[in-house]
Amino acid sequence: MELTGRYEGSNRLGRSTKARWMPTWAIGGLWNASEEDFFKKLKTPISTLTFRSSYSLMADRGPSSVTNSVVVINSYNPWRPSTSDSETGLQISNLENSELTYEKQYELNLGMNFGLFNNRLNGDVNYYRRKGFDLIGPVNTQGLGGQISKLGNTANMIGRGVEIALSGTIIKTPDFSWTSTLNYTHATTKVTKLQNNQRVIDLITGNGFTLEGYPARSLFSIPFVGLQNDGLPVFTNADQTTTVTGVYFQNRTDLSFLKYEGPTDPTDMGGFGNVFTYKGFTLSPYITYSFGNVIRLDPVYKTNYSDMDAMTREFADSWTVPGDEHATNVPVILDTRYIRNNSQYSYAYNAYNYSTANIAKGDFIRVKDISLTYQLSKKILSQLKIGSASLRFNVSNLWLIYADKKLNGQDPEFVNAGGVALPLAKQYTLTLKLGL
Amino acid sequence: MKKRFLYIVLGVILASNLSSCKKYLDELPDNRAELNNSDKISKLLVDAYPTNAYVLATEFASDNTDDFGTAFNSSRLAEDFYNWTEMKEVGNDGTNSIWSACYGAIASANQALSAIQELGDPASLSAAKGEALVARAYNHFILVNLFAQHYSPTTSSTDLGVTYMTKSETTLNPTYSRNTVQEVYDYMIKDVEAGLLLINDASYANANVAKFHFNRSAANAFAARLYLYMGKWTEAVKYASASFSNSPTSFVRDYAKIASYSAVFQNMSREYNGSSIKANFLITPAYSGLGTALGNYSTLARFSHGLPVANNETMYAKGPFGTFTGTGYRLKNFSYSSSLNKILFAHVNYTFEYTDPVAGIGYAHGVFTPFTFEEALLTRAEANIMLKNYSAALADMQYWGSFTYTTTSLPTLTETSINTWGNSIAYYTPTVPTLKKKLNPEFAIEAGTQENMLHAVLFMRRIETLHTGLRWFDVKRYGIEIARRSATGAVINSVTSTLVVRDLRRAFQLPQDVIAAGLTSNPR
Repeated sequence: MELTGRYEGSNRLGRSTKARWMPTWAIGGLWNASEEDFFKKLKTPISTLTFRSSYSLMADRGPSSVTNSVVVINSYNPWRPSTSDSETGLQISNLENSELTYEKQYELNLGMNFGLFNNRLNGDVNYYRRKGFDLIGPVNTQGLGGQISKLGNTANMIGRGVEIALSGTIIKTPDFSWTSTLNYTHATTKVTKLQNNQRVIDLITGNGFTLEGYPARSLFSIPFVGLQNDGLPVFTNADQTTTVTGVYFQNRTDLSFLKYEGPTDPTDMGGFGNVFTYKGFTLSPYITYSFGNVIRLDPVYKTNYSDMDAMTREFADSWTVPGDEHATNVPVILDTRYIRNNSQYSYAYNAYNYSTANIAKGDFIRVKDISLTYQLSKKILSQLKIGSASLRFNVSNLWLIYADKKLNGQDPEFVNAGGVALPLAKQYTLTLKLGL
Repeated sequence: MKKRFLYIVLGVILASNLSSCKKYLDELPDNRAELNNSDKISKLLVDAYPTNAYVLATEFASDNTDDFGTAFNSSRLAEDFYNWTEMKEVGNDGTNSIWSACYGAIASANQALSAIQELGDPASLSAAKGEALVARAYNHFILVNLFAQHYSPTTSSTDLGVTYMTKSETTLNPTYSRNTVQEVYDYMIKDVEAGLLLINDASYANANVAKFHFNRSAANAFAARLYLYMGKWTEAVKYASASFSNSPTSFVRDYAKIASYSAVFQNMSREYNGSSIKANFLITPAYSGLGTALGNYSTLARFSHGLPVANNETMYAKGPFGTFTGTGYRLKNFSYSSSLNKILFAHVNYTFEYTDPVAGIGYAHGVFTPFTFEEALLTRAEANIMLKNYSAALADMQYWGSFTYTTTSLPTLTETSINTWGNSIAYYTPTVPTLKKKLNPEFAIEAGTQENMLHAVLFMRRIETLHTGLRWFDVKRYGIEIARRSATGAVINSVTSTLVVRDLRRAFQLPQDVIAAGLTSNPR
């Protein structure tokens, strides 16, 4: 049994005594069941068995940018048309939030490890539940203080998860052995309280955002209906009518028309590793897997393209002649005549980028890493008079066994956050190791 | 006994630790400033002016603008302004930005005022206090005139105004209720009357910098506009005169210097808004697209001050001094009618601030001058017309003509000449436009001389304040009915909609986000 208390003070929230101190505590217990006398008498194949549990209140000072328990005033140089007009000034960068406090969570942990058959098979199972409250999130205010969007302790969230790790030696003979490890993690979150209401654009782009009752970082989509007979995309709008250019991305009053796609964080993931050894050879393939998230496909659709972005693979399927709308969901590459007559078409194409047509599942199974090592035997080594020698051939990111076909070649693990970035590269490595 | 001793020792150790903690934790966590001396308080007032502008919103909503069709550059924001519809988009020129810019500036003024109070209201801070009070009133003035019906002695005590903020916000998400228009005007007058006397031009770093603050001229010009909008003519005359020390000739713009830049629109508009120009009282360098939209760029060319308005109602129309061409104005007029529909005066300036010159990233600024000598002069003329001091009004209008037009043989304005001019023009209809629009204000106007004189001064005001957004407020206070028209070149194709007297849409709808957060919206 263990009980700890902690009383923490910080000046990070400014010269205010209200938000300064935070007491936290933790209580935990551990029971080695296999050490008990009665357990030993049972003579089970279980060689070790341990139960753990802990319950704690934890606190965090939140994002480093939120420190306004008193007003935050910074110096700045206002922009002026000419240098003779320039002066320095002070400005309010954050209004006072006298209610600002620590982000807190109650965490419950239950766990057990076990070993079977003289620890040939080992396992570790862990369950947690984190009830976060007073979490810092954005809130949309009336703005009479000068800032419409503010950050404060507005949100509650529950996180639950199970972590399982198994490892075992399946076969063991003098020449050959096979050991295997399997990891599995299941993690979900649910926002139980949120004061703000987001704009459409916040929910459909990037990692999305969240609404009350949904996981953190949920991604939503504009419902795509189909293509018109001139190849333009049609969507369902906030008022349940269909529209081409009428979706308002900054609308925050009515979000119910958006379709919930899923979280952008995977809910199930893990790895499966094996090591086969035969005499001097070691073969170790490692497979990773991940399920449960969604991925926004690259927003490639626009009304005009430059040399840099005019050749994406998606355009091969685009609408070209009337009738194609029955066969494809990829909108027409727009004629300049259309654009000249109506500057609004960019809204249609942008809506398509963030529609139900432009999303894929993030599930994948991949051979992350495979390596073959040959270790020279002691006999040869002693003849050569060297301490050790091995040759290792390693390939990373070899093979994506399974991924959503809609990704169209896009890597499910690669999120291009903007700018220039390289996707996950395949790597071949040959290593020769000599030890004298 | 031993135990008690132990407790005392423990207590002492704990207490001494905590007190040293207090000292340690009182250190500021970053390079933030605290308002603990007069210099810092004055510096906070640099931020007491809005950094976003109402200009694009009101210019597009006013009758200075027609719709030239989808073939020209446009945006949803511009369409909403032009069509008087609810704003669904945000942007530098959107109502959300105007709202937070004005209330943000008010927050700085309030923060400074409370710091001044904490220091015991010392004499060294009286100029800062004056500036803070006037700036607070001015920001509310923008808000109440944009987001509420115009001041009316009969209905303002019930008309929804805006919340008058006299304290800083200290909690995360407080809720407010809106004051009536009358209450807002009462507060503004109280602040202006108290602040105006305290303002001291010498408290600013130099004369150029003073143009970005409420100097005496700017504060008086603001007071004049405030009273003009309320229909309190005597006070309007008094403060307008005070803004140029009752000496128009010593405040007149350096027209020759500005005209020498007329080869390039950009240079001319820069000089027009220069801080060394005496006629400029207050300059606003806003984060805004107004510089391009109301300048010689294709930006938002769909909604432009084009030939239909210019020919019949503004630059090229027959005014009280006669008809003039583009070069008849001392600050020549720029016509881009064939390519962009735009007929412009270089009244607003576009400047790009590079934050990263290599990557070409930065902010677009629209520089404009909300308070000028010319506008104050015309305010005095208008108030004098309402007071029936026609000769004083004629003198001011004559003076305006003398510096506005290049001609050396400018006709002399008389009551007769203005009546002849005014009576010769038919009332405006959207399809047969003239510069004489029916006036339906809350106050009484005599037909004949008074009305004709008002038409003359409103015409001058419209030319003088073109592209700076003030026409919309003139439309509001005179209850002028205006129309939305689609046009091609100089031809008016059709009339799509009309804004009637006291139309609910004369009050801009509050920003969507603000309504979503629970503030009472404007009726629609």
